[in-house]
Amino acid sequence: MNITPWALLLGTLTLGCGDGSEATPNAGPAHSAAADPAVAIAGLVDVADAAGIDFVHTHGGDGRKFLFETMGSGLAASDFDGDALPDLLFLQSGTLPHDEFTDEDRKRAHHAAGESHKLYRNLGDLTFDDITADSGLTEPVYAMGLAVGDIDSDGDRDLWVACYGDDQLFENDGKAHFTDVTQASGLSDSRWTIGGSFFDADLDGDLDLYSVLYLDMPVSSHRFCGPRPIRTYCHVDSWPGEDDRLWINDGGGRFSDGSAAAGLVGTAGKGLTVVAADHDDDGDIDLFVANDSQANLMLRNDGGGRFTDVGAMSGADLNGEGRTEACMGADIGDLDGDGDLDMYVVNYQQETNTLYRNDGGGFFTDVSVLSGAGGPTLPLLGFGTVFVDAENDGDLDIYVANGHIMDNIHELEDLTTFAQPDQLFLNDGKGRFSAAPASLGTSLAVNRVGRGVARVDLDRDGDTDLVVSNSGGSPWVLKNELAQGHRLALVLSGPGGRADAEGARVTVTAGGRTVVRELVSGGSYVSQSDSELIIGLGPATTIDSLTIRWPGGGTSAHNDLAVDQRHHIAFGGQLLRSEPLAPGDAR
Amino acid sequence: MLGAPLPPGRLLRVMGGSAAIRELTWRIGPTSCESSLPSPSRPPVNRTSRPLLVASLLALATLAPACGHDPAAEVPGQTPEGLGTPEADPTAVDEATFEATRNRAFQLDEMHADVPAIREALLAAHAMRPEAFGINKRLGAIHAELRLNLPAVAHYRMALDAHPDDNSVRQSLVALLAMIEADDEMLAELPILRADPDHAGEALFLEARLRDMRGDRETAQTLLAEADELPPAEAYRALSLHGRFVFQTGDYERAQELFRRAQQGRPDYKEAVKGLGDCALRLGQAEPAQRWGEILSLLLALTDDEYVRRNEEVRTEKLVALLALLPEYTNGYKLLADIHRRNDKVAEACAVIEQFITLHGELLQDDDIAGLRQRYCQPRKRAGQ
Repeated sequence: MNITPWALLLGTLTLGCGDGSEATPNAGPAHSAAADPAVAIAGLVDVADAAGIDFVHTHGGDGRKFLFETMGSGLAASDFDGDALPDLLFLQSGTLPHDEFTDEDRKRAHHAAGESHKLYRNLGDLTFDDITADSGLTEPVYAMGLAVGDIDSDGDRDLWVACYGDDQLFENDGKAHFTDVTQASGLSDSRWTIGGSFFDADLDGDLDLYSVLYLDMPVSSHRFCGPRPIRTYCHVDSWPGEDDRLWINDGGGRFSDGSAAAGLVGTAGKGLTVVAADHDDDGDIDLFVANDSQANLMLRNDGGGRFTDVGAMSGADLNGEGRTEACMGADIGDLDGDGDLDMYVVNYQQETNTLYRNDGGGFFTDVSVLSGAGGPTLPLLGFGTVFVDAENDGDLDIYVANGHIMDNIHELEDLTTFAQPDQLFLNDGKGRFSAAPASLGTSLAVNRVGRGVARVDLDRDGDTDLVVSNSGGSPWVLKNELAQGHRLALVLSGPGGRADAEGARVTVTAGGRTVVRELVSGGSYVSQSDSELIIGLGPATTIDSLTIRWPGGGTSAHNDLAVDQRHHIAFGGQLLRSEPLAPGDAR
Repeated sequence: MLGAPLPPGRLLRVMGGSAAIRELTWRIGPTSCESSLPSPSRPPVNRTSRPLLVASLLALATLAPACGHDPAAEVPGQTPEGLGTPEADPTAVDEATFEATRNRAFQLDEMHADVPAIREALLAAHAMRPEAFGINKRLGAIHAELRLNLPAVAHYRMALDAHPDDNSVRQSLVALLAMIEADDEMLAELPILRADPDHAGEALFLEARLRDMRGDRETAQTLLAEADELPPAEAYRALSLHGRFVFQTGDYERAQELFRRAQQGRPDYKEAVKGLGDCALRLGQAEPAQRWGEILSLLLALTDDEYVRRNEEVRTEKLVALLALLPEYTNGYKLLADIHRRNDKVAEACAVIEQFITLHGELLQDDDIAGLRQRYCQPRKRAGQ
């Protein structure tokens, strides 16, 4: 996140212009084509209202422009109640944590305003029930991001919430009833945490947590920024960064700070997103941390949970121009079909989003413009991003949630708006992308202030839907009507009864093409996608081979899996059950 | 970091080689003068279709009613419409008043005063002489800096109406058009710049980048091949972009050569420095890789790290370290000497300048050297002295 220094220099223009928000698309010349609400949408169609998703994000801003109020908050798409249907959790920010408010004041204000996270149970027919009241998630906090993972390996998914204020760890009883175990776990941090990722750092079978910290910015350090009388958010350079933290799972519900032992002290980054994946394909899980206005971190795991920052050597610390960027969100996956994991990082306006092609040997090359996924992003400010095979054609497309940080940006830059259209970049199969037209998605045609995004098959029809959190507004719930190809859905259990096999890598050969997918954790921005892997196969009706490399070792082969089915596979390779996927809209 | 380009027209150029020498000596000399009268020898301006200009003027004209703000209130007698179709009668303006207003505005600009104050002063002068070249040029730059892009375009256009062959203004306009993605209008201006040896390199770079953004890398590479023939100081961005293209193909030796030439043209150009480091890594050249990595880290600290930018002691350390690794970074001497001078460390400032003269004196004229010594080797005059 960043604020242009030039924007802070403007003299006297007027207050009171519109902010270009919600259904008033007006985002400048480069993307005005995406700004016609009359366009008939066929593709990613918003069904939030029909689904009963009535969450509205509140950031609590009162004009004083605390930086945290514009960072938005995230969402999780995950099966919390054990019914094999992915539920939706939206985090709330709410009343500002002013110094003049006591915690009790804030709680009263939260409750009075009805500000709360919202947890929705998936009923299976693309409708949802609000089950927040019984969830144990009603304690008001100023939430930012989250991570979902089965920390106690009891088969259900627990929850960690990153806050401006004290972070929270919740244990799930398997029925989406959460108990706050923060104090007992030792996993407490009152600094400004943005998000994080559960992953098995030391390959001992349980989930550790990498938490991403942003700025050392106490409320008391707040001051006026901007060209008076226009007040804007202060630039991130106004505050120092913070060291991220690696929390090691000691078992028994306890975590300890393993940052120093892991070699992670002194990074002092301004981190916004971490992605945990095996970048170098050596069987352990590495980390990529997208930093705002500082070099990114590429943390290579030595296999035993010690990390070395190889960002500069890899080429992924800066963009190809040798510049740091205001990196917000990121995702990792095989974009060009060569079997290794590429990265995409979304940035501030007037910076292209950056696509780092994995060249092997630990090297990444910035091919943003060459790939086609850079240029069209120049006028927009990206936050969340996920890779998604929107068409089930076997290659990964890129979805980007856009929205400016300054609600009064129109007063400072005459061609920029606060609310912006999201973008979908469609892959030609070889890592060349083209921006999808506005007609392919509600969120591509209507402007909101996008932040987090998660992928999930909400209606269990074997394609990937998307959910987007929007700052100060309603989320997008985007039903996928694009997918036409055949596909496999894989639900992979982790070791020792753990719900998911974070870090598992699947290689499928079908129809003459080999597709590699990894169960990546983290990524996007402040959000978590569902753990089910949906692998598009295009026209192929059978597979030639399928192997799974399990985190911590071992490979299993599954060459006779039927397509267009969901397969549940236990850690190590035992096929637990298979079920046909519901027919999709386009098939 | 925003990472956005420097505002067109107000590029605080940090250059190397002969360009840096020019910059260094120019900054020491007197400020440029304003000529508000269009040259009779200049050709008439082509006033064919200018959609963005129209939009710019409309934006100016409608800004106030749309947002409840009246720019006319900033300057008595000015109306937004007056920008495009001057209503002021030049004969009615007292010349002395105009000159005083203009000079005050320029003085504020030269003193790097608050940008809104500069803008206000320039607009006051503009109201008296809407066609004045220098005022429009500076207003273009100021508005670009303020991200008021459409007014910036309008002012640059008016400056070019007065002096159509001023390609410095045209380059600023083109850079702005590139930034706001007015691609076709930018392309229309580029042939003029390409015909000017002083601007050909940048024009080729901008067009190549645009073609590449549009998915036409082949044409982009053809354009960049032309830039390969230009002096590196004039075409460092094009050379470096070409280096990146070649790097992406895996031809690291060829890319290294292109980055090397770009870096020769501008020693502190981070893209070229990064490219040299990346090439060295891929080619297994450990020592150069480490050196370029250190140089890039220092450059990033000096440009991107707010703590370093604000802390002159740390900044001094970084500059000293950088100059030890990169003695060809001529502008670094000026930056370092200026820090010492600001802190009244005359001996240190003078030593830096003497080192600069020793290393790069062959590029300087005698009066340049004298000017440098006068500025940096004598105590600063205080008010009242």
